[in-house]
Amino acid sequence: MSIYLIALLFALLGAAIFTVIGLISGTDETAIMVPITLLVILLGAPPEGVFAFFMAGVLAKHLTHAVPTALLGIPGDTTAVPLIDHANTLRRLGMPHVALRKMISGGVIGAFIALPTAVLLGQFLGQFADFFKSSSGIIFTLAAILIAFFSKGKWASLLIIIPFAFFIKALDSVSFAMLDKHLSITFFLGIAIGPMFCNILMAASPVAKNDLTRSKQNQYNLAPETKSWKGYFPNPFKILSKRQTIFTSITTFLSSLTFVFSPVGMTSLMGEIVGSRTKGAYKKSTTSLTVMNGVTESTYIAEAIIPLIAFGIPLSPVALGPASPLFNAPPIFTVDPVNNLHTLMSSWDFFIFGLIGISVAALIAYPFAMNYARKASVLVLKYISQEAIVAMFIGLAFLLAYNEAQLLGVVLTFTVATVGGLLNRILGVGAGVQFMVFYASSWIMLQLFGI
Amino acid sequence: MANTPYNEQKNVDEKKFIEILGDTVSGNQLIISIILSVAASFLGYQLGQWVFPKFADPQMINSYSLLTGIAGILIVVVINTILFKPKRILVEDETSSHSLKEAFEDLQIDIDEEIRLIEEDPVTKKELEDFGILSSLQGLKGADKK
Repeated sequence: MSIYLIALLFALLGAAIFTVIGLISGTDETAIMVPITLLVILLGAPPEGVFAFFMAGVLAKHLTHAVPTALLGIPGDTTAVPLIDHANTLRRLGMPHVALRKMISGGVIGAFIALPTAVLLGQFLGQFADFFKSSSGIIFTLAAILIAFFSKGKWASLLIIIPFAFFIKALDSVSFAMLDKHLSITFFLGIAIGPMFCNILMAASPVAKNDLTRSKQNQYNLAPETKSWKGYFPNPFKILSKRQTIFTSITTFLSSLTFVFSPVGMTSLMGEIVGSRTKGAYKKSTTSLTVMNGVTESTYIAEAIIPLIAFGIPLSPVALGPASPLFNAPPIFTVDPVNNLHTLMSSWDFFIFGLIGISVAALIAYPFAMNYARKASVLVLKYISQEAIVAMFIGLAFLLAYNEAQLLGVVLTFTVATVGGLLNRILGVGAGVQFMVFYASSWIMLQLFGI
Repeated sequence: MANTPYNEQKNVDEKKFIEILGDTVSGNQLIISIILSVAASFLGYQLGQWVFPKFADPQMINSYSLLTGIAGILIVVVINTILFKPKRILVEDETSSHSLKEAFEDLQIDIDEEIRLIEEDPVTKKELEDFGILSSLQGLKGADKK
């Protein structure tokens, strides 16, 4: 079978899985992307297939997570948080479907602008790759400090860098003594599912439980939908006004270049810049939503692709979170030495297989979200329980950890999840900081203690 | 208060909900679902480790076992979905001209100003017309003054 056909099939698979997952609101980006992408890699998918799968998954998920954001007024996941105010304005005005259509049309445009931009920038930065690779230890440490300072935990995040590096290194030494090999999937699975696991632990403790107990069920107000255009496949350029298309194109191009900032931060910034130049509540909300969703998409894609092409080491918030398996999924992909998509694919491959991925996602998720948004969210809200979803992800984490190091892997993953999750939930030390410290830990410990 | 002990009893009762990842769940049901899910992934994986060495390439045994593990998890997802119903209340909103006026007030938007800005811009006006919203907006004109 030709590699293009294989990539196409993986893209279809990614788009199908994540179109459904995107509808489930409140899902944590990293906790979901990491285990599923890891599975595809460990099952032996070729690098091109993995990349097409990931790109299709990312876009499909972002397109359908606009559904709960617009229709229910709850963020589809953390990247949708900055959009919630504008989405709520339109929802209150009885136009949630307008919000939805603007958002996802912006997202599609953002994706197709970001891909070529990111590939070109990645290739350009590639000439500095040797410098980055040879001094990755200190770069990871500096990046950890930077990300820590800008995380929710701020000073707390900075203070725990060394203790957390020590914690990681200690676990690594113990597991190395037992297995004679270094583990890594177990570590970052732990970091990824930490916040979810922490909630479960808190619920199991009578002391901590109070924060999480609710006397009532969550209520969701689902807005009505008015079908206003004919045909199955809408043209995104017709959904947007010319002004919105231009603004989206400019902002998504710019945000594709800023791959070291967090997507949420870029989204808020660009939305604010464009929104403040637009008068009238309706126009302001629709234009902001279009631009913001476009920017989320482009930052996300650029942050995954640029470090992959240029360095092969994860040097952006997305590369450290949801895209981390593309860099590091031993024994198949490794960061030290660099043996991952960076070495296995050319820039041209990234463009072609990325294009296959986002095209498939656009063809599946875009018309789906445009046509069946309301029906699909009713189905999910009425029939799929949160218990089943949380249990599924814990089961997946268990499976992957067991596969890497049997019982030790499972214990290790849940140890990291406990510590990382509590740091995340209580002190605001985000998963990005923890991933960065994980990569920096060897260098930090070497400098401090010579081991 | 006389009924305090009763209330305390209730607190530990499963009538209370727990919020996990932004949604309410029942604590006991969540624990059962997780146990089922983990058990199924473990059994699925072990089944793979036992069956595949008999005929598959040794290199692929772990990958295939992952697949049987996932199969186990997916079966449990279906079982959990059937056993445990979502703890959500779904309210289907209706939008009327009255609630639209209320919404404008809540959002502190000047209706006349908003309509003026929309009518000034032919693109936006056409767009709202196509969505069939323009007329209900225009119906609100001057509603602020009443």
